[in-house]
Amino acid sequence: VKTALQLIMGLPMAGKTTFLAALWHVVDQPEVPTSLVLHEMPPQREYLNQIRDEWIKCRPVARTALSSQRTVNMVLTDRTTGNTAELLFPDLSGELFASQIADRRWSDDFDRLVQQAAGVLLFLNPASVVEPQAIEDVAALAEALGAPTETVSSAIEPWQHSHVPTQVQLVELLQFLRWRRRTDRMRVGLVVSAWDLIGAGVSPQDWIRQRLPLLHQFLECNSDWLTTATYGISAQGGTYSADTVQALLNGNPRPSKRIVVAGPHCDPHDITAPIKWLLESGE
Amino acid sequence: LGAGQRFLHLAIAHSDRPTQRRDLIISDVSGEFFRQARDSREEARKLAFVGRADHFVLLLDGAKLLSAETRAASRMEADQILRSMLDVALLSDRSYVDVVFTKWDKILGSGERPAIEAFVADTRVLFEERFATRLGRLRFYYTALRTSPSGLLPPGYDVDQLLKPWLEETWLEEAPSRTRTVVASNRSFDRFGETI
Repeated sequence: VKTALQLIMGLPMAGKTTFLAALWHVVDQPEVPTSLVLHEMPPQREYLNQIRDEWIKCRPVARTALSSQRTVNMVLTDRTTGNTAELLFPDLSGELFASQIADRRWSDDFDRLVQQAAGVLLFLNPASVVEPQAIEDVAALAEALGAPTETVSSAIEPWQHSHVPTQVQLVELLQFLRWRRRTDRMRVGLVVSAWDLIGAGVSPQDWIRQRLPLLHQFLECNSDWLTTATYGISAQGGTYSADTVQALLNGNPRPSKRIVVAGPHCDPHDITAPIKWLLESGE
Repeated sequence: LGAGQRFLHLAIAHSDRPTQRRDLIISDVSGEFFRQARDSREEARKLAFVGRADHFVLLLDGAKLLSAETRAASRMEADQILRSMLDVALLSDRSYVDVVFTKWDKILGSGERPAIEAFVADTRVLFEERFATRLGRLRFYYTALRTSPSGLLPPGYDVDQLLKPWLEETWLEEAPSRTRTVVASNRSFDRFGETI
């Protein structure tokens, strides 16, 4: 059984841990058809069970703190090929990636993960996208509203790294990877989480092109070293409002059916599809 | 025995054959041990007495099935307990397993009865698909032990159906040529009945 480390990256609240919780449930409980199935139970599964216990009750999964990062492993078999691989998923805090952008450095531990990574899943949450705002657009809007256009210094919020548009931060993270793995081709699965907020009518790839054009162009222009696929995934199937939670719980006796997946060649609840796609790089 | 682990001894007989007594040893073990077994192979191995059991009885709490929030979690936990026991070979294709849905009277009296009954039927399908070939026998029971306000079921409902096989059937007697699982424990209690 070969071992493959899959790096899961994304800014805070991008949905990384909720994805892991749902992934564990889907491979652990055969409720829906999936590309990958669990080959054997991991010897230690306390953390996976802990995050899944929240997910299965439709509760927000606790975010990963910098102090509680860990690597989980699952031995999965590709239902089509019969190939089995042990997959390692470091469950890293979003603050780690935010600090990499702010400080432009990363730890030796993270550096080892980058060097070992067979593939990357890069998460972004459409509900927390920071949009770029051009000064002339803001001025035009203020004028249209009849607001004074001159600068009022007391109203200016001090600049922070979190104000950087999301697409710029994600491109920066990819460039960091490129800097470290400059001789390798990399396979990066882009995951738009909370896909239930977007809904039908647009593909994940088109949504990226429309809402995050810089990221889209970066992926297109770097195809010489970057192989990408884009997925839209709602690991919980909806928001955490009381009405939605009740509807999700009552409407889906098999919790795996809450999951929504959109992307190339995947069933509507198959959250293992991006992992299968990543594994294809090693075949 | 450690804290949270007790075993109850009952000697019982058919009312028409009072001298033909059978001894039952029933484990009374904190659910915490099984929760830990769900989480860890090492913890699962500590439940060595399971390998000696003639019958393994898995309870699904009917009260948890009443709530949509805890319904699926209850099934998942039961599934994981069974698999963790299979994973460390304390259960095997010789084991007799009874899955018991408790407090059934509450479910019959619930406004969500159709949804819960559909869920339980789905649970049977999933368990049979997953475990029927990995166990010696898998059966399902629905019990109501206490007098319920709804009066839908008499107290002790279905318990006699559950109890009778415990007295009369054991995989060891039906397959005498087979040996039991070797128990990885030095405690005399855990090694009770082991083939020498």
